[in-house]
Amino acid sequence: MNLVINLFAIERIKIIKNYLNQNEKVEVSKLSDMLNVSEVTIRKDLEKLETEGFLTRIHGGAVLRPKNSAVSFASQDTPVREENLFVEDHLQEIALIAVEMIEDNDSIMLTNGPINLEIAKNLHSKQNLTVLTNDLLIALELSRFPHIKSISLGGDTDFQSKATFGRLTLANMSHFYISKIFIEVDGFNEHVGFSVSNIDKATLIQEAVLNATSKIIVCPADCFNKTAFFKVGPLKIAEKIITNFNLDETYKRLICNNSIELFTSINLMEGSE
Amino acid sequence: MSEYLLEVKGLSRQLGDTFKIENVDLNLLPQEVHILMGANGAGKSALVKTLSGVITGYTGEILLNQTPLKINSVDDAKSYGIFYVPQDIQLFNKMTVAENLFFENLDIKHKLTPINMNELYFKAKELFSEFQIDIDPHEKLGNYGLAQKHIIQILKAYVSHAKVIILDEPSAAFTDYESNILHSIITKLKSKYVGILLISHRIKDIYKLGDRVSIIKDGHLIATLDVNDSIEEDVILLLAGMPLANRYPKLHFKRGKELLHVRNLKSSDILTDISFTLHKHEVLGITGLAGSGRTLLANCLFGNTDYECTALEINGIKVNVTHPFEAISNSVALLPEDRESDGIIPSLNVVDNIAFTSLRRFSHFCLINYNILISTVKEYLKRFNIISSNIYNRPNYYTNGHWQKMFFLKWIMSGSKIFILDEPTRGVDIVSKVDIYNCMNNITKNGGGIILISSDFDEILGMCDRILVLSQGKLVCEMTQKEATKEKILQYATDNK
Repeated sequence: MNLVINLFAIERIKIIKNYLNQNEKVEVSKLSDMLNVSEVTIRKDLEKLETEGFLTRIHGGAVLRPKNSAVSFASQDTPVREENLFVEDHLQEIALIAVEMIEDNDSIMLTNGPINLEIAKNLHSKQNLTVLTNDLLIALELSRFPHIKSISLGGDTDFQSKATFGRLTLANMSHFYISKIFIEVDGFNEHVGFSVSNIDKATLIQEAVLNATSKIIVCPADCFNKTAFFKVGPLKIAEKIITNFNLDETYKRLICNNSIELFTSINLMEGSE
Repeated sequence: MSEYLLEVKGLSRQLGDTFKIENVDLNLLPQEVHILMGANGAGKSALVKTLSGVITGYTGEILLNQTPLKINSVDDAKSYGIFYVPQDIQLFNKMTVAENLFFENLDIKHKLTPINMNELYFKAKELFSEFQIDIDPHEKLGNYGLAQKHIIQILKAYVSHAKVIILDEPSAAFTDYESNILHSIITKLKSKYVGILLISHRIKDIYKLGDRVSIIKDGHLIATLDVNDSIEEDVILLLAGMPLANRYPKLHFKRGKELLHVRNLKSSDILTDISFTLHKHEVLGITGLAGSGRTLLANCLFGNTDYECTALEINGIKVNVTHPFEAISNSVALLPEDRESDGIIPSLNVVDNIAFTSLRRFSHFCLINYNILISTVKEYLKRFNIISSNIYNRPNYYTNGHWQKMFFLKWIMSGSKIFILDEPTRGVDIVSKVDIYNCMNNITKNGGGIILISSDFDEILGMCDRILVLSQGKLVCEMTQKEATKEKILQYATDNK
């Protein structure tokens, strides 16, 4: 009896490893269907593989742990902002919601920041898109897709954020009108409003919102109640806010009371299709 | 200086550790509708419950017709002529409508006098025809929907000959049609020199019904204003800390293939010829007036009620749903309208309440692995912002909004794909509402389909991709979100009246 179960477990783990190597991610329910065992068993298997360092468990499934070699095109020879894996997950959740708001034939602007970079990475399914950005990494990322037109705003390049700012950028921007702007901010406080950590970025955003129909703020939940040094504007400049599910209740209430659409990344349904 | 019917001076009452009503001064004239407004949890209900004896042990003075009185119980309040209509239904389902209506106001001269039932039914009938209400007094109350029960409850106050009538959010469940009935009842009451305290969330009610408005915030009465044209809508709203307009976070997805197909559904002489389809990644709104058969339709699809139909297909496969078991195994989920009696099992703790639909997932060799079950439930609770300090608590420690979120968890965990939501946000605070809407986005994003049944037209317009209107058991129109307007829906919903 014991032997049989052991053999099964070994078989299963082999299959899971193979599957992950091919697909990079997998859902618990799918494995359970595939191997005809309960989800409890699968979860145990994944736990084992996680301790081995082969994969990382996520909500409802697992992903292949990346090897040390270059992960994405942009990071090969350009320095990328350092984030740990946990934070990146949170940023990606926000980005995936933002992507759903973008329709074919839109012209959008992405200000510089890691969430907007995530958005850019997920735009390939859209058709006939025009993207305006001041972030060099975003422009670089988008240059991989032939069907997306990306316009990089020229100007002074900032060392830290790898983005362009300054009068030249502002002058360039005045040529365009955009239907949706995704603004990444670094802090929000009830009294101060939205704020960022760079004065040039603050000026850029203030100018950019004048040329946009729909203003969407993207901001991780832990940035609420933090204040960065440079003020961008009051809560009212936003039409939609996208943030994480764990946003504090007082802020949720505040945002709703100001009739702003609040999108949170509640990720409950397991699997897709 | 006019003479007040009811006067409250310096009323205070500690409620729980952190919340209290403090120093409330309130007065009510005869023939006046005094509206109380405030955000959820501001203390409106607590205030009127104190006035009506539901909550006892207050400090301060209450004067009725200039005579001070002490209210120690609900009976006290009723004997003084203060009648309280609670927010939820407190009627008897197994008794007839007329019996419910006159339950507390039987005109009997002596204990042993027999009750003249014919007279009761006649009086009830007269009353219903006066207000043009389509309810049969001989029918058992349980056969009517929530909105009709509310109307009967309000009429109960009408027949009570009370001098002060307190209505706690009567219009929350109402469509415009029922609101008009409420309006005519209130007008009639006013002509009888009754004073009415009305708790409402609707701005419309102020203009339509109100003479004065008081705004309550954090247990304090912060302002009382006369209703006239100069009342600024925004000022009231800001004072009360309520949203100016509801904004709905809605994500649009490309419509997938057919998930549910219903053809010629028929049930209990109310629903006839119902045909529709629900697609993947879609929210289908079904709306209509109370009594149009919305809830019945939900129950049919979940196998709760008998019905006939020529075809019912789920995922393109013909199925036969005659019992909730079959519905669940076909990945259909129902979030019922009456959460308290149909949704929650009060004797089980939160974990069991959430997990009992998906026990199969956690079983291994016929045993339930409770450790994994608990850790999974905890993870879900965390992701849905339900504070789970003690997950072994009974659900009644949680708010309405949390309950509703628990139902979502329950069905998501069991792997449902078709969600039938019957009034999912009624009586739910705004924060939970936003969570629920975002959860709906998450469901549709991941290949689920949602049937949203709601009497809140704004919600229907805000959250649905397609909208169906039910009127007297028939589907009278289908619109996309872009085509639909509130006026159109209302027009179709009331068409064959």
